[in-house]
Parts: sequence; C-alpha cells; structure tokens
Amino acid sequence: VPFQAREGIATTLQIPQNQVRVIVPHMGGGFGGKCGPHFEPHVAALARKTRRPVRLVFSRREEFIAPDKRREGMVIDIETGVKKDGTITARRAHLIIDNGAYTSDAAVFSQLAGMHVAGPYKIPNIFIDGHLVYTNHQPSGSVRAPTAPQACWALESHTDEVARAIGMDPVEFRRKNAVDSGEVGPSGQTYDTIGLQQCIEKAVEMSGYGRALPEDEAIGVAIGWWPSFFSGSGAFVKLNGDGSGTIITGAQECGTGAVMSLPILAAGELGMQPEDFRIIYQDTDAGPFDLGATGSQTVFNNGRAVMQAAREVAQQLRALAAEKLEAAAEDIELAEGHARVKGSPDSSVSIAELAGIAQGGELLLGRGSAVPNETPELQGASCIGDTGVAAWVAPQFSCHAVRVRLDRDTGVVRVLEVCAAHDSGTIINPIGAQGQVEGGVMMGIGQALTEGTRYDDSGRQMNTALLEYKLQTMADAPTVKMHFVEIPAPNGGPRGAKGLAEAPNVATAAAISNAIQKLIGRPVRQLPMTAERVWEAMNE
Amino acid sequence: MNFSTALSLEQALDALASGARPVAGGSDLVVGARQGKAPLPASVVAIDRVPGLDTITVQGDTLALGALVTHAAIMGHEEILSGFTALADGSALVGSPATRNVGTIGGNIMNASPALDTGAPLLVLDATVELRSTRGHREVAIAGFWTGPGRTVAAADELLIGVRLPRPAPRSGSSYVRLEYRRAMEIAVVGAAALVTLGDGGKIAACRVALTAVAPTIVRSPGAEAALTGQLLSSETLAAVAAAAAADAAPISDLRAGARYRRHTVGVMARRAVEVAAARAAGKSVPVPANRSVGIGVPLEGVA
Repeated sequence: VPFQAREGIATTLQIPQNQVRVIVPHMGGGFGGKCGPHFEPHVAALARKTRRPVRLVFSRREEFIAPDKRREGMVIDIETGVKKDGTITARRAHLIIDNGAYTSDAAVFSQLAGMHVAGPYKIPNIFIDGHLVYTNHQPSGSVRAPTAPQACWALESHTDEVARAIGMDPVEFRRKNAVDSGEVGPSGQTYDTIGLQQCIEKAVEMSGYGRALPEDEAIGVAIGWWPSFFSGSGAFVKLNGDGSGTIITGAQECGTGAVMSLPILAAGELGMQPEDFRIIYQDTDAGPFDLGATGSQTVFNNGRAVMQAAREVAQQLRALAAEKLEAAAEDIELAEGHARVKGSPDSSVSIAELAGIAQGGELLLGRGSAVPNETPELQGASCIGDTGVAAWVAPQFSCHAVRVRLDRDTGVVRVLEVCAAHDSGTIINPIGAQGQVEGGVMMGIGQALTEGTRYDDSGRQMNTALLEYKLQTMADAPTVKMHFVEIPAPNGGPRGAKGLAEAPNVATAAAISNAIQKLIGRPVRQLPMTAERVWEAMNE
Repeated sequence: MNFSTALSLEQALDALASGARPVAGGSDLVVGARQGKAPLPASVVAIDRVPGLDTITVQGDTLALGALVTHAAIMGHEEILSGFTALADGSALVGSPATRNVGTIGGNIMNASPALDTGAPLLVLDATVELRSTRGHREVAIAGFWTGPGRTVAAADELLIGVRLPRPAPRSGSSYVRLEYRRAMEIAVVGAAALVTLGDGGKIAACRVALTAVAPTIVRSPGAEAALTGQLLSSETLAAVAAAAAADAAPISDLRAGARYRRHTVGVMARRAVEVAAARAAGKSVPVPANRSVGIGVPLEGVA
C-alpha cells in the first residue's frame, strides 16, 4: 500500500504527496492488512515532531485489536424456493453484519455479503436485506475476500439442506442451478465466457465424489465466486544498453508472486526471458501509482500496465530492426532475444545489439497504464443503497470438494484432502497461483474449524494470542489438489487473467461444513465449527 | 531487572536464596511475560549452564532425569520409549519442535499448569522430584507436589534438580493422550494418562489413571482405576472407565472448552489412554505420540 500510505501521510501532515516518499521493505502477508493507510500517518507525525526516525512495533495483542482487520461476524437467514425438479425459483435472505465501532472498508459489506448469499446461481426472484450495524467491537474490515467465506458458508450449507429436502444430490443440484456462460446471475448481470460448470466437474472428479468411504469420512462440495477489481495502475519498462531490462512499477509484492509475474508479461511482449528483467518496486518515488497488495488486483491491473509499457518498447525495437534488416516494421517479430523477419529466420538481429544502437539515439523507454475494464450492465437490479459491488468485472469462480474425517467421540474434524478447481482466467505465474490456492485453503480450514474472535461481555476480545486464536499449522495441512480452468476472460486482465488471491478462501469452509453435515446428519450453525460445536450438534 | 548466570549448582542455589527466580528454557517465563500474563521477576538466575542437570540415567530400576532434560531428549530416549512410554507421549506433544528443544522437564513441572502434558504421565509413573536449597535436600512425591495452578509445595529458595521414576512392574504399559484442536502449537483441552499392569488371564492386575486440565492440578481418577482393576479389557470395562473418569473430573468452562464438553471428552481420553497402555503392556507397539494412533489420529491409508 505504498501509495495509499503516502496519501494518508500527506493528508494528515497537510503537505504535497511529492514531499512524502514511502519505501516498503520486503514483507509478507496481505490478507487485507495492506489495504489503505493505517498507522503510517501517526509514525510520520511523530517523526516530524521529534526530528528523529520513529519505529512503531505492535505487540501481538495490539495486532489483534488495533487495526480494522477483523472478519465481520454475521447473523444470516436464508430461505429458498425450489421446484421438485431442483430449479431454484426464489430466494429471500436477511443479514446482520457486525461493523464494529467505526467504519472503514466495511461500507460495501452489506451488498458484497448479499452477493455471496445470492451465490453464483440463476435465481429469477431475489430479495436480500442486509444491515451493517454499529457495535462496540473493534472495527471490521477487509480480510481476504471480506464477507465471502462466512456468507458462502451459510449459503452453501443451506444449499445442501435444500438439495437433501428434495432428495437431490447436492452436486447435481448445483450443476442444474449454477450460472454458465451467457446466463444471467442473481444481480441481473449477464456473464460472458465463464468456467463455473467446469470447476464443479473438475473438483468433483479430482475428489472421487460418490466413491465408498470409511464411515467416519465424507466429501462436501461448495461453490463460490469473487470479483476482479479494476484500479488505475502504472509501470515503466526500459531496456539498457546491453539489452537487459528494468521494470519500474508502483506495485507491491507481499509474497504472493504477483510482482514476480510482471517479468513474465514483459518478456512475453519482447521475445525475452523473465530473468532478463530486474524490478524496481514498492517505492513511491520510483514507480507510478498502484493500489497495492489488495483486492487480488496486482497482476490484474499492473500486469496490463507492464504489458503496455513493454509493447511500446517492442514497437521501438521493431522500428530499429526494420531499419537494420531492411524490412517492414510490421514484418518484424521478437523472439528468443532477437528481432527477426517473419518467415526469414536467417534475417535477424539481437535485441542486445538493437539496445546498443538505441543508446546512441532514441532510448528504449515504455510507459503503461491499465485501461479501465468495461463495467458490466445489470438488468433490472434495483438495489437501494447500491455500493457498486453487484456488477462484477471478470468474476472468478471456484468449486472445492473437501474430504474430512470426524472423531465421533469428540467432534474433532480433520481435513484430509481439498480438491480446488478455479476459474481465474489465464494463469500467468503457475507457482504463485499454486501458493495462493494452498494458502487460501489453509486459511479457509482455520476459519471453518478453529479460528474465531471471542469477546467478553463488554465486547473486548479475549483471545489476542496465537495459542487461543488458533490458526492451522503445517501439521494440520491436508493434501491439496488443484485445477485451473484456464478460460481467458474476455473483459479481464493481462492475457485474459482474473484475480486469484482471495478466491481460494471463499468456498473452503462451506465445503467442510457440507462434509460435516453429511457425517452428522445436520449442519453446524455457527463458525468456527469447533469440535465442541460439532459434538453439541451431534448430541442435540 | 537483575540477571545472573549460574555456572554451578551452588551459584544457582545461592542466587535463589537471595531471592532470584530460576530460568532454564524460558518457554513459560519469557513467553508469559511477553503476553502480559506475569511480569518477569525482579531477579532472575539462568540455570541452563549448570553442569550435570541435563542427563538421563538408569540406575537399577530407577530412571533419573536431570531438571534440564528437554522434551526433545525425553521423546528420543530408548529407555523412556520402551519402559516409561507415557512420558515420551506427553513430551512429544509439547508445543512445537522449538519449544521441545528449549523446554525442560524441570521447568515444566515447576510451571505447575493443570494442562501440563508431562504431568499426568509423571503422576501415573509415580515420580518423585528432588528439591535442593542452601538449607538442604528433600524428595517429594509428585502426587502431593502440585497444590494449584502455578503452585507447588516447593519453597521459593528450592530448586528442582531432578525427577526419579521407578520402573513399572513387568507386563506394564503406559500412555498419554490429549484432546487437541490442531496438531502442533497446542495445549491440552483435556488429557489422560494410564499405566496398566496385566495379570493372569489377561486381567488388569494394577493400574493408575490421571487426568489433565479438568481440575486445579493434574489429578488421579480413583473411579477409573477401580473400574479397571481386576477386570478384563472389554468394551464394558472401557465404557465404565470413561464414565468414572468423567465423574471424577471437575472441569471449568473457558476459551478452550465448556465444562460439559470437557467432562465428556476427558472420559474419552481416559478410555483411549487405557486402551493404548494395555496394548503396550501386552507387547504391542503403539508409536509415540499415542495421539497419532487413536481417534482422529489414526494414520491415513498409504501414508507412512
């Protein structure tokens, strides 16, 4: 968030933005914590007053209670009308969302949560009443796919109950009602080319859904979705005299591999290798604006900026090569570190040589800025208090099939295998993408089973340490199988990519819930589905 | 804060006599202070370099552990794995590899947590602790050692220097299992240890059962022991063990679990601990920690 931090500091200190330079050191973990300015202005104000460097260190307890990084609690009621053949006819839902004492990014949460309670289903008649309420809890705010895991958990647990009530297999029920390309979703948006049905097919197939399992094991299935977000985002690309490249971007890397994807995109445009590039990033005095590691937006927006900047350089290289090789610029292709005439592979010149020539003349410099995506139209959506999150640019879809084992004596649930199929459009950085799915799944398991903010009667959080706020550990990690349905998004990011970082967190808890529901014959109606709650549900 | 390092037992005891508190691995004292549980004492003496306190020795029928023996050392020791298995089960579940490599048995005992993973094993294995001070030396049975959460009978100037465990009778087996919500970095929600000695005709000749985190200290379960002694290990006996252990428990409700759930699950743990201990007594191998072989811990197909 270097640019949002800079803006916050400049506003607070009432100085122009060019008098503030934010350099982000290498740091890990986005998860919403990199959205917006937080305590940077406080530190800057102290530094200005004392004329000394100031460092702010949070204790673990402060980490829990000071920032607005708490997942919003919800009370969710859902009612669905369905025909005997499994067609959904209507849905009515009521949501109460715990905003906390102050509002930050939670302003959009009632509509966003509403979208997840609607789900990626064809529903002709829908009414969702969402209330974001002030409480005396610490503020809620963006945490990896805000509102989605809990709302999806409620909806998808409900979906299995509905399917069971009409005697239909829950996977079949989803196949029948889930949106596909060209169909209209619950908010009135017509989807372009999407791969939700393929996600269902692949996740179910990978899990071996339907096979015989030991009596204490079951597979639960859930689907989810999440938007891609457009933001202004810029980059420069330059080639040095020896043909090596430098990408200068405002984007921030927080360990996801998003910024590390940028050389792949630049190299693709220039016929070079990703390792030919060095990246200068997360420094507000170097790169142009970028929103930061938030909203799964880095590759989606900055990737396009980098490609556009690289294309400018490619154009310059083609012009130089055309002159050198005595051919038309449009006949020059850039490949394997060379510019060559299409159809005459012998007629070529290395990019390094062209870069050397350019240094004696017009330099090889490119600039790029992501072009705003087309905002999809909504048909007939009439939402009072529309906060702009009912029409989704390049929506991402997913289906998770999760196999769990239940200790019937204690209610302890262990997740054995998660099969995650995702439509995030074209995958740019496969290793980074794999890491996002594995990480999202682990976070989802924590939300499902062990993580949860606990309050005393005065609304103070009681579990502000990691022994009592129980994240999953590596020892708990299940086998994660994944598949990417790589359909290039028509109105998407670079090469048809969509966002990815938040999506794997959406449907994991829901799928776990459905596996538990199968094993004990009823849903556990509260998150996290702790061993104690599972056991209480079994003994109701 | 005054901090000193003792290089001999005498230095350590002198420091304690003048009011210092001892620190070895620091996994309770330092972590607790950082979390704001209790401030660091005004005067601290580091005892981790005191020679001779980190050895595991077997003298005849007695296992002697120095106070500085780590959990990692215990869980890897052949004699403990074969003859005092419950202690290895408990040590192998403590915290994380990092905690197990710095945490010591002496510190663990003196921390006197009712959730202490080595506590129930020490109780069923009939341990005795050795206390030393500038005033002298005494031995105290572990059964009467803990008096409440964080409290022991040791005086402020007494240093726990070691633990002694008598070798269980032939045809004995022991175990410790706990309820855990995750498989590492966990603290016992409830737990149970058992020592079972088999007699003629497969009947249980003698046994001890101890319960973790269901009372102000680790406690024995007289009901479970009575339900088991002289019986064959049938499903009826095991059900009686579970019911008796649950009845003997006096759990509280806190962040980790409600009292009702704790009472039920401590019975389950007692039953499982007895099952494993009996299997080991009969010569069957149940790998350490037993938690990975019972209930949800049963290994997956095709996974070693």
